[in-house]
Amino acid sequence: MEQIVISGLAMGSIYALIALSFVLIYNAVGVVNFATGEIVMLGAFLGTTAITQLQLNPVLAYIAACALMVFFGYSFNLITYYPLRGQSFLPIALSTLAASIIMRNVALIIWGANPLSMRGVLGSGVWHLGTVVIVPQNIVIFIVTLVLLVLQHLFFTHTRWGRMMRAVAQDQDVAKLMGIKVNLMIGLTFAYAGFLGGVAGLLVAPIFFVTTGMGFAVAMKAFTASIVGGFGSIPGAIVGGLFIGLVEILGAAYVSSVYKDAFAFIILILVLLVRPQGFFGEKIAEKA
Amino acid sequence: MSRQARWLSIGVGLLFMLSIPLWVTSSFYLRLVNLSGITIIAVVGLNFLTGETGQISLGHAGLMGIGAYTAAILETAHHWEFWSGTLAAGVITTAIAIIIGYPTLRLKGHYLAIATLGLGQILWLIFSNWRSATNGFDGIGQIPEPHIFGFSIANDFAFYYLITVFVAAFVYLAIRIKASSFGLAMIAVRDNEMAAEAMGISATTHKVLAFSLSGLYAGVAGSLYAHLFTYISPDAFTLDLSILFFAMLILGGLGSILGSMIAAVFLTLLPEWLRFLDQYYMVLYGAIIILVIVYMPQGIMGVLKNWRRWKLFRATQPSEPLHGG
Repeated sequence: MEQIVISGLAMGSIYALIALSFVLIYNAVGVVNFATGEIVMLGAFLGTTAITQLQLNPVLAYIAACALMVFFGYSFNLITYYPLRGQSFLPIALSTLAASIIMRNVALIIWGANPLSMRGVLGSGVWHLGTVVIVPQNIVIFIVTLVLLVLQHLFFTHTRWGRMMRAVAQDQDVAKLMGIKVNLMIGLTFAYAGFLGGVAGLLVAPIFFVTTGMGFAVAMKAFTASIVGGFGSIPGAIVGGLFIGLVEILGAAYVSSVYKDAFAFIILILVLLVRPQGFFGEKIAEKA
Repeated sequence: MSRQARWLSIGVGLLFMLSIPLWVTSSFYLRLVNLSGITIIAVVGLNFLTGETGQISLGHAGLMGIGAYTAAILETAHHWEFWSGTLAAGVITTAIAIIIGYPTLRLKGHYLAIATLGLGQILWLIFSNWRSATNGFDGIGQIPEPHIFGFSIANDFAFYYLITVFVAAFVYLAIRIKASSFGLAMIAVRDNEMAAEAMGISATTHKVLAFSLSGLYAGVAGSLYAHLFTYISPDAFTLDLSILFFAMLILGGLGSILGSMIAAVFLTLLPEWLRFLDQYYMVLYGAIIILVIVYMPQGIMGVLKNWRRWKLFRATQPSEPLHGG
């Protein structure tokens, strides 16, 4: 039981990070980034290449992968969102979907179809704590997620740049009147979202097989998590992520492991029917 | 266009359509042409929901799968006929679309996209894992050929004419619905939901009806697909197909029936033309979609319209000055 809860919460932390990645973009530009899962996939592949294939020093490898993901997030904005800013939701949604197709297939060409695996920072053994078996990577996931969330909170509330990014998310016109470079802030938000997705990919790589399809599976859960938590809400994304992680693993353990991927969606439909604004959220039926 | 010119062009178009199997002699290409016809039905159906009512569905491949599996199961395990199987496929898919649509269509834009994405995924899981009915990943084979008025539709040549009849009927229905007061109400919901509600048009009812209509089209398309290939498996109904349908709508020009038909044919044939690109094709396909959205925001129909306006402008330019508007 304890193991199950621990791995559920670890997976939930990953979902929370990914959910944050697209909640931040949604708040900044009002668009759901359907390529979020592929950003996670890219992070995982970069980490695997750096650590398993190039045998780089782990610290160096993680820093390099994160830096590349920041750069990628910024470029992603320039290609898929920036030329379409001001257009309605449908074309932008299709543009991010098309980007996800491109990314998945470029990854297929570069890394091939065979699943890769990545070594975790604490090795691949297990720890015994009394009767409880702990996978060390899960502990890494908790610590990294927690540190990242605290840093993010401090950045958005206590730094000038963080406040400028929040101002843009709140009202672009007023932010522009205040002299904030709106497009730059949007680009930075995409860059940070790329970083978050990349970190999620690096964290999940040692406990998953790294494949071109991995992104879609985790991103769908993260989408669900953010709706369950309340779309657009940062605490909602975190709580929703942990909740979906737990529900999924308990469902797989006690109900059916084949339909593991369906539990999240059943919860999603139930939430949409009973409390469409989620735990913390806005009233989504009324928001355009 | 004058009345005669319009009838003439319709007649020429019809003759062209009917002659296709006579000069497309490769059975491989004829199969693709048939697949284009089935895709047209599905995309014109999706146009009710996305083009006319302004709602997104990323689970449409799942609905098409319901139609395909319904017909396949009824005809292989229970020995139903083509007509009854296809009718059942349409009815059941419509019913499921209503059940799914009611809770999800109260949502807007992003939420609906995510909810339908999830539903498409659940349907795929059911096709893959409900082994006793769907045979799991092995799929269902040996789907019997349709028998119509004593003819058996056993090859792509015969299938072409069957599918043409279906395409003509369903496109005609779509045109009539679009021009009806119901069609105008759907467009009103797309353009301004609040104003539409103020005029006494229930937005939710119209969205659910648009979704069920698109379900009917998807179900029938699914049944035709099952008969054309005589074999179906879960991998025929993945998210990629849903995205493809959506891309066809945008490429054609949202809301245009003719545009979505052209785009459906174009994007069905494109992979064959670019087959030499091998695995690079999907990368190029994604890039084409982005380029089209950026440079042709109104799709194919927008380009055609501009071109016609430009020709009109050139024709009127030398003789008389253009008046405003």
